[in-house]
Amino acid sequence: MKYIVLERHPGYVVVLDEEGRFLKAADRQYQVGQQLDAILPMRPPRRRGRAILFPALTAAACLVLLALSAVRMAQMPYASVYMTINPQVRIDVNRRDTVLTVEGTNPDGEVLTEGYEGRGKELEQVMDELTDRAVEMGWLHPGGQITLTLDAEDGDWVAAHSDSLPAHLNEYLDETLQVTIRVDGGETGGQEAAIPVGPPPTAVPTAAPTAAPTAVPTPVPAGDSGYGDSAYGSSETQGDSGYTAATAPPQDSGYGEGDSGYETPAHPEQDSGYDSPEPVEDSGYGDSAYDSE
Amino acid sequence: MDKEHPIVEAVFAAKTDSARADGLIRDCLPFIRGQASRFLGRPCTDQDDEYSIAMIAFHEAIQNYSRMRGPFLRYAALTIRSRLIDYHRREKRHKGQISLFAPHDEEDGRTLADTLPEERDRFAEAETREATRREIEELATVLQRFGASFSDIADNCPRQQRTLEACGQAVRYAAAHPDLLEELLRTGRLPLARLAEGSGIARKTLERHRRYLLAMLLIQTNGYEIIRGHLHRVLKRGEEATA
Repeated sequence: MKYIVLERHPGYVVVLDEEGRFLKAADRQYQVGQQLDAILPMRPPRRRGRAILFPALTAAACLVLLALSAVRMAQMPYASVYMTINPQVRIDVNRRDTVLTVEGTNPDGEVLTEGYEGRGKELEQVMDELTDRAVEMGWLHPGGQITLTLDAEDGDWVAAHSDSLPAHLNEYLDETLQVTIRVDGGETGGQEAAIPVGPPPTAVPTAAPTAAPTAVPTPVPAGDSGYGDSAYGSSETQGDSGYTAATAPPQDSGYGEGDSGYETPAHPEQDSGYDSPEPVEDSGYGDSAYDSE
Repeated sequence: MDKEHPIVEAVFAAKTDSARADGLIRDCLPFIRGQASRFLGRPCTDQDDEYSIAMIAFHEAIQNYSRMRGPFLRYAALTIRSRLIDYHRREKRHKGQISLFAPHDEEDGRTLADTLPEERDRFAEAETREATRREIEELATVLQRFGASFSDIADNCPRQQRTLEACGQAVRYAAAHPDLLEELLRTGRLPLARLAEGSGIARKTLERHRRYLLAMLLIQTNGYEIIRGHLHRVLKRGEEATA
């Protein structure tokens, strides 16, 4: 795909691609009229469903009585899945395993979920997408571990998902990475089962799990989750739907971990107070602030 | 935090007004550069890709910011860091490649770049760029008369492939009916009813992307040969369909 630079602004350029798309992208010292082979596109703003609001209101007025109880049930969180790699996120789902909320529950988790819209999607899809993100962002490597903690009042739900979720993740990751998936029962108690994806090609197989797929993984370059294009953040990225209609913004309370020390500076030149102690290359492994249990 | 920091007001204005957005980013350049430098662990220069990415991340933060996200600058810092991490993860994969400027041969003295058969004609490139720039400037002037800027059009551009193609169909219809384009130039208004009827695309869809269509239709008028050539894919499809 080729792009023509149409206009320069401080911080971005507007380009035109060969299919008629006008896009904003990062400005790497381009000139107007220049032709580019690749761009770093800006991610489109999350739509709040504004265009759909009015027709939706009229339709809702007609159906409100009938729909009320059904809607209420669909909106009530039925269970939560905590996914922990180093970042930890909580995924709330309703009875039908449709995701209601995705929230980072530690600072890395907030970075991981930044810009991600999970609401309305299937639980397994969200777990896949967040896992992909974690790989992309360097938190998950081959040999790494994902811990799932399931929290629900319904013991049957926990039991069923303790099998199905790791199995699904195993299958999803099988082609790209070899990670261990651990399941904690959380509040309702449950069994712990270490389920490796499959024996590494040359090493000794890890301990035999109780219920694990036995697919043989194919060796694949580390960290290549399939986002092979050089365009950064292209709009085909699965993790960033951005277009979910009429969704409320995720319940993002910012840093909710007792960090009251942040003062917005009067002048932007001053330090923002944002603390990121990790150096550039740090994937976060071995971070002692991470609570696994 | 009862009192709202004045920057929040600037952010909300910047969401819809690209001139205000430009102003805000200029004011916050030191902050943005600081974030990039902190990430890199060294002072960030204009030449660094990370600088460009940090700036565009800041723009994204402006677009996505809501009060629920807490203080704006903290949110912006988070977004910048997130994008920089993404970028580094991608770039790491390319690190295995050898530099074009590595020596080709001990005795030879040439570099690998010298052994590449292809040679780019920089002069021709500069000429094309200049010619393109002139077309773009002309288009920008006309668009301004209609009250639209490229930035606005980028915001209004269809995101979904399906919608993009529908609009493309409308554009092809207009290209095949010069009187429609004349009407646009003469009246200063987009003839949406005719476009909808003629192309078969729902009027509502066209309404939603009127600025985009305005730009695309203007490109079909006289004087934008280079840009039209660039859009050959959009225009070619029509020829195949009518064949």
